[in-house]
Parts: sequence; structure tokens; C-alpha cells
Amino acid sequence: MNYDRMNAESSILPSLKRINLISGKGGVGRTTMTAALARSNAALGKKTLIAELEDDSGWDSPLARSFGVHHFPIEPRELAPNLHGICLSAQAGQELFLTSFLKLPSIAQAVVNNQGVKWFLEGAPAFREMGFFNHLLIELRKNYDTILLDLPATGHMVGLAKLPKLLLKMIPFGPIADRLKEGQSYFYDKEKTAAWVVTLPQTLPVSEAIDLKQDLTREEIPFGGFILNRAPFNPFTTEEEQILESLSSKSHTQKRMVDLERLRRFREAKKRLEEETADRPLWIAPEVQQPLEQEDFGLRIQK
Amino acid sequence: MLAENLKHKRCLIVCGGGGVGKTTVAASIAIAATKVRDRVLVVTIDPSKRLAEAFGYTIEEMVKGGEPKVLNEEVKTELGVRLGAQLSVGILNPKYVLAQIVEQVLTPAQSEKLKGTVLYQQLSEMVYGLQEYTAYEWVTRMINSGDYDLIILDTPPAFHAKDFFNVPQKVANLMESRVFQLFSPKKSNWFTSMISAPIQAALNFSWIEKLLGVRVFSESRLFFETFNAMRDRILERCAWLSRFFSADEVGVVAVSTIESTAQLELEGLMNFMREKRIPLGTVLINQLEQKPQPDDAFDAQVSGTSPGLYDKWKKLERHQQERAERAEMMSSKLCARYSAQAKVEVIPIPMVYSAHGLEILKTTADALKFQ
Repeated sequence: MNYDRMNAESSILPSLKRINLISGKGGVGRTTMTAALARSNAALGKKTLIAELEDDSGWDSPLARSFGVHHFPIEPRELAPNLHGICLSAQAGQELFLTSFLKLPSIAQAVVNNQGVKWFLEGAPAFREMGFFNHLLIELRKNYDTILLDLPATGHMVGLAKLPKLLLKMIPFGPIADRLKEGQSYFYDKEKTAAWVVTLPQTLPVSEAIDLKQDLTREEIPFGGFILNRAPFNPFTTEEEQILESLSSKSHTQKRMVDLERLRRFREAKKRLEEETADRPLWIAPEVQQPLEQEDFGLRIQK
Repeated sequence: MLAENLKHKRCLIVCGGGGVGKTTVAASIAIAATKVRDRVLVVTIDPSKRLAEAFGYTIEEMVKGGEPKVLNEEVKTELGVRLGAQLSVGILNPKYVLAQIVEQVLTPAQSEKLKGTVLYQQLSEMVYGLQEYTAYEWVTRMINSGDYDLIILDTPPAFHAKDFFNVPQKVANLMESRVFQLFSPKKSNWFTSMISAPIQAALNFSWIEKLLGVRVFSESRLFFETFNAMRDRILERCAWLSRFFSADEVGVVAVSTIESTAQLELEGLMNFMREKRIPLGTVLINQLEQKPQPDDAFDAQVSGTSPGLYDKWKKLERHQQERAERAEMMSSKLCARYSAQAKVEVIPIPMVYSAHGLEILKTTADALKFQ
């Protein structure tokens, strides 16, 4: 029952599709997992793009930090052999779209730089999502073997997923509709796309992961699988665990809660996730202890 | 300081990064607060199923009607709420709040028309800032209702902990932005004056209409016209809340864990709050691993099964011991650092090894009461 981190990662690699949407609530280790998968995939010689959505906070991107930079640029940047990183930007996506729509470059430039148009694009419903969507589409047209998109499980994931269908109802023809249809041809095809949900062996994160999977399935985004992160240290065989459980229940002691509870929670999480996805494996990655001394660990508080 | 704040403040804002147990902690603070206050409300923006369930409701029951629920005596007793104190729980229902605002501002005919559009039904949640605004509107109403002595506010699961404090500014910017004026009935001069003649043709409404189609265009127009009508009210609310956040009657509690991502969030939040001069009183270090308790009788039983199993059992115990020691070391380091550098009170909260929502809430509340 010991899970080797490298084995967990490398066993996912063959199941990756061309487009991989990696999601999960904050704090589940999603970003670290995305970065690790991207590195391992690129090391196999596959041309890999790792992408995240822009965030206007001005803070460093944790994903970019794991590659030693503060932010990814809005044009792909080489991080390692075969590995590029990009930050998808709503504004960049909108501009790229308008530029292709208004064929004359000088007019396009004037339009995208016009404050009125900028305001419209910032504020109008779904236009932010549309911008992200278009920026991603442009990268999809390039020759990457694998694209990994790190998506926090806020409204974004499901918002992006349901955007094409919703907007096509309202805009059935024209250049926007063409983009939306192109997007659909990728995102709703299980040969091309897989959504992965990272979670932890605890009750609440597992419930949230299952909800997220069901939301995605409702939007017809192909589901790749769950990645159960931070599996606890467990030296026992299944039989040995059963022996300990029966001893524990007979001895009527609460004292053993701490030792056994983490294993119980893990078993429960594993069971629930496996029941939710009976047709595919569950990927399990063990807990890795952080080193005690971390250089930037809360030290940069301004005086 | 938390103990003082629970006694005197009108509102406590609980913030922190994702996965730190913020919602559970907010609810536990509310339970602890009933020891010293009569009417306490805990409000969460996150549609947390489990919080609703821990209090004996389904999420659907909890958000129905859009108003907070007063907990019944049975649940209150189980949670250890002081006898005679009232504890209410509210979970935000953005659609309900938005509908309410629209009804208040528009005539019935206008509001029916707006609600009939696809844009309102499907895409209003994608308007940047609107989701947060509904949270604000709702919270403002709770604060001003006079129904509660203390409100514990669990902030939304945003990208970053500080985002919540930026919302008034963000919404105000949106309302000030000319996109609303673009659709205002009185077409002002700014639009034509800003652009040079040769490209005006490319920038008029028919251009946008051609790109988006007639339906989207007319619906967008209606949508923005509506919000234009609400502009003054929204701006007034935002200004009021901005002031309220830095008022004396509001306290801020940050929740973190010893995980490095949570620490980075906390660090950013503390810097932000220093800039904005919002006082941060308390940092709670949540989910600290506990040491295994020695239990010789149980060890003897395990040893009676097979020597191999006993060795593995001891190995697990050592592992847990190391985890707990590491958590303790980290936590005391953080205590020392934050109380010295930022003059905040740091309270460690032990991990609760239970799968039962109610038990987790009660145990966490008890841990807070000792402070």
C-alpha cells in the first residue's frame, strides 16, 4: 500500500490527452501536480505547454514560481527543453480576436486600443471568459503535443466549459460562433481533451471533487480521472489494517484516533472516488513533507 | 485579542487562502462567541454543503428564501451554544439577492423584461464583479438590520485572501467604467470625441451589433441600462463598506495552516492590510497535527497478533510523532515571527480527527474558548 510519487505521476502520463484541464480547490496541491506532470511529460520528449489564467492581483504566480520565474508571459516562453509556459489573458485573447476579425491591421490596432472598446470588453458578460477561451484556442492551433491548463475550481472551470454552448444559443452565426464551434470540436472530444480533478484524502475535498466532476460531466467535458494527492504513510497490508481496526473497535479507546484516523479517511476517500469513476483508475500520489527551512517562508513581511 | 473582539466588535471578517478550513473556523468562532454575545450570525459566501449539513440543513434548505436560518435548540445544545443565546447561519444565494436588487430598483414591468433575457438568466454570473457585489449587498443588509449583535463573515473562496477587501473598489471601477455610459440612453460626447474620424465607422454600435448579433446586442444594452439605473445605489454601498472595513467595530481574523502555499497567502494578506491600514488582530494556525497518545494496552494487543505487524505499528506511530513535532515547531516559529514583526496574536488550532461536521465545529470552538 505504499505509493511512490514518481510512479503515480508517470502512470498518469500515458493517459494524458492533448488538452488537459487540471482542476481542484485551493490547497489540494493542484499547482505542484500540474508542474510535476508538465516536467515529466516534457522529459519524455513531448512538446508540452503549461498554461494558467491571468489573475489581476499582481502577486507572483505559484505555478510560475515553481519554474523559477515570477509570472508566465502572454506569449509562450521556454522553461526547459520541450516545455513552454504561458499565462492566458482575457485582454490578449480579445485583442487577438479583434485583430483577426478587423483584417486591416491599422484599424484593428486603433480598435483594440480604444478606451471605449476596452471598457466594453472588460465589463460585458462572458467577455472575459471569451477572451481566455480565444487565447487558449490560438495556442491549440500550434504544434504542442500536450497542453496542461492549471485551473482553480472557482467559477472559471465550469464557466469556461459552459461558455460555447451558452453563447452559441445567442450568437449562432458569424466570427464568434466560428470560434466557439472550433473550441467545441476540441473540448467536447474525449480523444482530445481530459479534465483531471486533484483532491485530498479528506471528506470535504472529496465531496467537492465529486461535485466538480459531475458539473463537468453535465457540461459534457470528458473526464480524465481523479488524482488523490497526499496519501498518508501506510506500512500495512489490507489484512493488517483490518486486524488493527478490529482491535481498535474492541478496545473502546479514543486514544488511537490520531494514528488510525488518517488511514481511515484515506480508505474512505479512495472508496468514494473509485465508486464515482468505476471505469477508470484512481491516481494516487503520496504525501511529501515540506522541508522545514524554506527560504521564502513568510519572511518577506514589510516593516 | 480574539477574546476581546468577540466581546466588543460588531463584525469579524475571517479570511485566508483556499483549503485552510476557513468556513469551519468561521462557524466555530460564531459558536465560541455565543458565550459572550446574545445574537450571533455566521455568514458564508461559499455555497458550502457541509457547513449547512453540519448545522442540520441541506444546502437547498439553507439558501431557500435567501435569509439566514436561526438554529434550533437541539443543534445548539449539541454544539455547546450558551443557553438563551441565538445562533443564525446564512449562506449566500447570489441569484436571490440579485433578483431582489432588481425588483427594488426597477418597475415590475422593467424587471420582468430583464429577467426574461438569456443574458440575465445565464450570464449574469460572468459579469466581472457582479458576484462579489451581491455578497456585499447582502452583508450590508445583515449588518444594518439590527438583528444581530455580532456577525462573523466568512469571505469568498477567491483567488486570494485579499480580494474581498478589493471588491468595493473593483465594483466601483466597473460602475464608473464607460461601458455603462456606452449604453446609457443619453449618448454623451465622449465616445465620438475620443476617436479620430477615419475609424469612427468601425467603432459605432452597428459594428458591435454585427459582431455580436442583434439579440446579444439588445440584451447587453438592456442589462447595462439596468445597472446604470442602479449605479448610485451600488456606488454608495461600496463606499459605505470600504469605510466600514476600517472602522473600529470591525475586526479581522486570518486563517492559515503551516503549508507553504497558505503561508504565502497569509504573507501577502498581511502586507496588503498594512498598506490599506486595515488592522489584523488575530492569525489562526489551523489543522495542526497532534501527537499520538501512548496506549500500552493497545500496543500489547497489537504485539499479540504478529511481530511484523507490531513493528509496522510502531513505525506508523513514529511517523505521526514526527509529523506532530514538525507542526509544533513550525507553529511556534510562526507565533514568534508574527507576534514580533506584525504585532498580531497567533492562536494554534489542533487538527480534529473526526469526519462528523458537528463534532469538528464543537471541538474547534472549544479550542478557541481556551484563549
